[in-house]
Parts: sequence; structure tokens; C-alpha cells
Amino acid sequence: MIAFMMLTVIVLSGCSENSNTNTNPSANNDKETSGEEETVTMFLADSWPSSIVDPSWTDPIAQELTKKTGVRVEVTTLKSDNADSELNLMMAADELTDIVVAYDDRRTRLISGGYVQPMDELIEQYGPNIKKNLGPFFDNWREEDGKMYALGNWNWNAPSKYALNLQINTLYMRYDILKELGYGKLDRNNEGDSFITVDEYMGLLDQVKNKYPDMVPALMEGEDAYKTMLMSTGVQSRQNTVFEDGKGYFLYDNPYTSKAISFLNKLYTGDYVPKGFATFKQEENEALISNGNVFSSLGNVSGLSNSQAALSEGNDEKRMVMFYLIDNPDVKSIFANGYWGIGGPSIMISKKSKKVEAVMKLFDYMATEEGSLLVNAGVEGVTYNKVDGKNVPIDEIAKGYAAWDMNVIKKYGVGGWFNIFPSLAGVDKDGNANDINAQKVFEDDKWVVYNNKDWQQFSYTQIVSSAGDLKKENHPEAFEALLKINGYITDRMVKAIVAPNEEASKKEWDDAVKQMEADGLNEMNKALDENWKKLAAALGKEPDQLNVVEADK
Amino acid sequence: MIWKRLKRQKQLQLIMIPMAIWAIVIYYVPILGNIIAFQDYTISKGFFDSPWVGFKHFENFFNNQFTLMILRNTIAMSVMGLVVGTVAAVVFALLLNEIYNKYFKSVIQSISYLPYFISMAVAATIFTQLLSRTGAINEWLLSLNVIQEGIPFLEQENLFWIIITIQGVWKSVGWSSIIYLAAIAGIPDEIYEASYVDGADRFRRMWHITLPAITPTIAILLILNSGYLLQGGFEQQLLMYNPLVMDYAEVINTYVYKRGLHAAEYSYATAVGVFQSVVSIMLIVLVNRISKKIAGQGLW
Repeated sequence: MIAFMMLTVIVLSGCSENSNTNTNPSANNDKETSGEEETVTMFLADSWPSSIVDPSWTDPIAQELTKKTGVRVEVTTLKSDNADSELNLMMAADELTDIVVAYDDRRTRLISGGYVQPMDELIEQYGPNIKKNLGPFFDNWREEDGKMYALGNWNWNAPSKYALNLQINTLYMRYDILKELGYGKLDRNNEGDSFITVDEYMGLLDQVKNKYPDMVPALMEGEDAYKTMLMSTGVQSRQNTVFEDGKGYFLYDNPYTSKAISFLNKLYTGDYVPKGFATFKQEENEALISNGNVFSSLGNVSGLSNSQAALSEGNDEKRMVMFYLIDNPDVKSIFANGYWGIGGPSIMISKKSKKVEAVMKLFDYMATEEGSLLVNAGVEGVTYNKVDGKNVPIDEIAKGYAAWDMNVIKKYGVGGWFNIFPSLAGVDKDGNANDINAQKVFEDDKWVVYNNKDWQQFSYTQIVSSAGDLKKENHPEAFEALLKINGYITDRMVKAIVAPNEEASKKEWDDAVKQMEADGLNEMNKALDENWKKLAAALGKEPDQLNVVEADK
Repeated sequence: MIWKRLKRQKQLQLIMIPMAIWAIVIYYVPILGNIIAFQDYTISKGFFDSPWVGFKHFENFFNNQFTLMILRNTIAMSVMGLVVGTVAAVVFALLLNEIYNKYFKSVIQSISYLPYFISMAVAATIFTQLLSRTGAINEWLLSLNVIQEGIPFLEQENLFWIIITIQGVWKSVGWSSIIYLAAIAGIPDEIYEASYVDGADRFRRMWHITLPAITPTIAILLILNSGYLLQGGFEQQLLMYNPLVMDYAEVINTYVYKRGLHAAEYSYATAVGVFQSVVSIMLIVLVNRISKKIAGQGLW
């Protein structure tokens, strides 16, 4: 009898709600901090934002935001690399935080599932500064129903060169090796010198093979390298669509696909890339690059940015610098691969949030001139100083930002929060950016200036909402086809790349195309084409000009 | 009759009730969630508002051109793992039993357990490092001049199943042998003594006494494990996967993981799970019957 009672007590105590162990802040959790501060909760449902900020909300920018607005943010970052699982679990448990930051199909899922609220009325009521300073971007953030569910970050009010100091997927080559080879365009004295044709690149690879037999001529990762080859043609693309000759095509089945795969196979069979590259993980890439054993990287292979510091230790010129691959000299402007001139709308307010006013107060402050400077540059006297009327970042941050040193970025919040919160990154009427580090890096950092010498010849997309994307509600068969095909197509492409010869490669890819056709490729192509043209019509643009924004000249 | 027995055992029944409730709540109530296999379930609509679609997801799975390949891979790797794993564990237990030095036996046994406690992520890293083109095995073979350049073990489709099997057996042989050692420990010494008198050598004792004595254990475990034939594989395949072996590495669980969790296709993933469970139950029943007929041993 006693044993039964003990067991019953154990079971019942185990079943009871235990709010003390609930470490997952939810929208319904009404925790107040000291004084008049209000606390709101935020979930960063993606690995990128989760990796660039310190969630403890103790960095100078976070502290100052709380001081200015009276709002404190309890930040939850991803605990694993499976954002889908964690977000889906929160949605299923109805425990979404007040603020959710999510990208791409996760954002679409939140919107179409009715988990987040439209912002238009909230902005009218609580966001006068958002309307005033970020209003020009609203159209880029609207969904197909005309409503805005998320705000974007890192907003530049003019296509500006200061926005271009990022690593973008392109071709990287060793500066010191090019110097030894006597590469004629190395100094970039003429316009277009940072562009290199495919034939020129192959010539350099041959030279490296002959002169440095122990060096790996090129590293690559299948999908990235393919996209780099695609971008080299100057073709317009967006999400899963490539638009060419008046028609929209699937990213992996367009007029340029076969040529790109054939070229990559040639690199493989010609021993320009290591034979085992398909099995390389980030650690192997880092080991090869940082030991100086690699001449070039076709696309931004994983581990490249981590390896730069080790590679150039002791010799500043021993580093990978950016080149922009073009298919032939007639290609005058290329798409910065995957690059946006403004941040995609990703920060949303959950429908069940009880702290909407506090959240909007925070957002509205960040959209003011003062708030934007805080979010982008930090705190005067702490992260930057005023020198001759100009805001100049402190040395530690300037260097850390230029090298994208995560320790510095998390310590000060500079470089982190502006990639999440809505603010104006620049420029003011005097041409000064709030993102003073981007400006400084572009003006002062020798290698950033070098890499972006031809920035005026880049094109980059401004359409960052999910309008025009393939959605289940609008095209169920095409959406189903996309899901099936995405499950295997990049792997099939890698198999085609590592085929022993051109014929085997072509056969492998032809089989992949047959598979895609069996899974609904034709329906998908029709839907992608239709969506592209519909979006162009909605924005009042020609379909072949939908995605083009020329950089300032 | 039953009531009388229940009345006699009432205290035992009372002790069992909490755990029975726990088992029902943890194991049986969630089965109701399988209903979403017959719906187009979305989190926002929940169970009650999601539309019913009948067997649509099952049809999608069976009509998928990858289904046969996935089933083949799953069953092949499970069967190989089961057969080789069982044989290895039994042989290891038999050999361990023949070690007279108790201290040495304990040391060997303890060392054999260690891989079981290593996480699969670490095990995958070890094997990847060993088997890569510049890995330890290739370095060793190159130093002996057996080969001229590294063998791409991890890139060969036809080696993937073997690598997975070896990895699985290495990880579990020590742990799996425990139950067989326990069964061997239950064999009366008098039988062995009698065999000494009859002049049986070590091998004959193993073959005629030890092995038959543990046959019921082997049979029971095989029956139990046969239910996992379609469940087998996820972590190992996910961690050892690379695009070049995709046609031989993809199993049901990794496919469902990609379609179900990444793409939030919960209904599809559940339908595949229901299929797996139904087939697993059928397999257990079938293998139990076969085992009873052939070996006279069964779970029930």
C-alpha cells in the first residue's frame, strides 16, 4: 500500500506543470525586469542571426537600446543547426516568442500559417519613424496579398558602394601566386580588371599546375560552383528561377545548366580539383587553404573565410582575393551571387504577442536617425568617437569588422544587431553612413577596396520578399515537384561533376533530368515562368528587367 | 477464474497500475497522432481543421521512383547489420568464454564495450578520417607499396553498405555479446565436466554444448531485431553520407527526415512511419512463426 502511494506521488509529481524548468521564453510569459523596463522575447530562427549576436543582451548596443526605449529583449538563439525542427516545435507548442526572425520558407510558413501579424496598421498606429525612414522599402517587403508581415534590416537608402564590402560567391584566387605568375591585371588599374573570363581562368590554372605541382589549383563545392558558373553568364535569377530569352526556367534546368556542369566536370577530370572534393568537410577545406595549399576557390567554399587570417599571417599578400568570373568578354555586368542591396524582411511580430506596443516602440526607435546610428555604429565613446565632426569606429571594431571577427562583433554588437533589427544603414545628406564600419572598411581597408574595385558593374536584387515564390496554395503540383526534386538534385549534380569523362557526365545529368521530368519538372517550369511574369507585371517592370538594379555610378 | 487470480494478486496489480498508465500515455496515446497520415496536416489548422486526404500520402510514397531504392537500401543494411552483428557477437562471446584468466577476460570485455558509448558523430568522424583518400588506411597501404594512390573507400557506392556494417558491428559487438555471455554463464558445469571425460576438445565443447545452449537466446533476439528491419538506419547513414553514394546511402528514415522535417511535410512523414510500423509488426509475427516451426523457439 505504501509502495503504491509512493509510486502514485512520483507519477503525479512528474506529470504536474513545472514552470521553474521552462527555459523557453514564450509570448505568454509575463516576466518584468526591474523598474519601468518591459521585457519582450525574441527567437532567432536561423543559423546566421543566431551566430552573430550575444543573446545575453549585455553588449553596449543592447544596453543602450534598453536605456533609450525601456524595452529589454530576451533573446533565444538556435540550439542546433536544425532551424526547421526548433521553429516547428515552437509553432506546434504555441510558444512563439513576441518577435521571430526567420528567412525564406520558414518565414513563408509563419506568414501563411497565420502565426505572425501584418505590420501595416501597427506602423500607422505606433511606427511614425518606421513609416518616415523605411517607407521607401515597404514595396519590396510586401507579400502577394499586399500586406507587410516583416520588416527588413540593413537598409541602404541608395544603392551604395558602402553596401558592397561583403564576401559574395565568386572566384577567389591567391594574390601572391598571381604576382609570381606575373598576372597583368593584378593591380586593377583599369575598369573591369577584376573580371576574368573562364578561358583566362583556365589558363591560370594550367600555369599553376605546371609551376606548383603540389598545389591544389582549385577547390569547389558542387552547388556553389554551379551557381558561380551560372552567374558568370550575367543571367537573371531569383530563388529557384532563371529568366532567359523571355522565359523562366528552373535553376537546375535552364539553357546554361549543361555547359556549367560540363565545365565543372572538365575541372575534375583534368585534375584541377582534388579527387575527393565531394567528401570534403569544412575542416579539410580550412586545413588546405590555411596551409597555403590552394590556389583558387570557385565560389565561397566552407571554411574559406575562417582560413584567411591564418593564411595571411606574416605575409599580407598571401591571401585569397575576389575575382568575378564572366563567361566571355561580352558579359558587362554580373549578378553579385546571392547578394542583396537590402536585407530581406525577416523580423516579425507573432500574432499572439501581448507586448505589441513594446515591440513597436523598440522598432520605431531603431528606425529614427538616432536609433539607426546606435544599431549600426554603436555607442559614442564606447564603439566610436567623433573626430572632426565625423563618426570614427574604434580600432578594435574597425579591424574586427573588416576581418568579420565574430568575437569582436558579439562583444560590441556592432555588425550583429543591424543584421536583425530594422534600421537605416545609410546614407545621410552628407553622404555619411550609419554603418560607419562599412564605410570605413570600404574607404580604408586595402583589400576591401581591392575586392570591390568594379562595384559599379555589379547588379543585385532588390526584391527580397517572398512575393513571386512558388507556393503550395497557388501551384500545388509544382510545389510538390520542387520538394521532391530539391531532395536529390544537388547530389545528382555532384555525381555528374565527378563522372570519369564527359560522356559519363552527360549521361549522369541526362538521367537526372529524366528523373526531374518524372517528378513534375514541366509543371514546375510553367509555374516559375508564370510567377516571374506576374511579379514583373505587379511591379510595373519588364520581365527581363525584374531583378536588375544598377549600382550608383 | 481470472477474477480470482486478480483478487489474489490485487497488491501486485495496484503496484502495476501507475506504470501501466505511464506506458499507455507514453506509448499508446501518441499512436492516435498517426491520424495525420490521412490528412494534409498543418500546424496552424491542427487535427480538427486539416483536410482529410485518405491514402494520398501512401500513394505518393509508393509511386515515388525512389521508394524501391530506399526500401532496398534499408533492408540490405539492416539484414547485413543483423546477420553480421549477431554472428560477430556470438563468436566474440564464445571466444571470450574460453579465456581462463579472469582478469584478462575482464579487461578484454571492458575494452570491447567502449565503442558502444562513443557517439555516432565521433564514430563517423573516426571512420571518415581512416577511410579518406589521405586517411590512415591509405597512408599505411601506400607505405607498404600495396597501392600507388589512395583508394576512395568513401566514394564507392558498392562499399557503402560494407562500411556501415563494419562500423555498426565495431560499435556494438562488445555490448551485444553481454547477453550471450549471460546465457553461456547459465550452462551447468556438469555438462562440461562430462564432455572432458568423453574427451571432447575445446572446439567440440563450443560446437556441441555452448552453441546449442545459447540457440534459444539467439533466436529470441533475432525475432526481436527482425522487427527493426525497416526501422534501421538514420544517424549512421546521415553522418557517413556524401553525394557520390546517394543511391546506396538513402534509407527510409533519412528520406523522411529530409521530406518531413526540413520541408514540414508532417503528413507524408507520418504516412511513411505508419507503413514502417505495419510492416515491422508483420515481420515479427512471420519470423516468430518461422522460428517456432524450425527451431521450436518463439516469443509467444
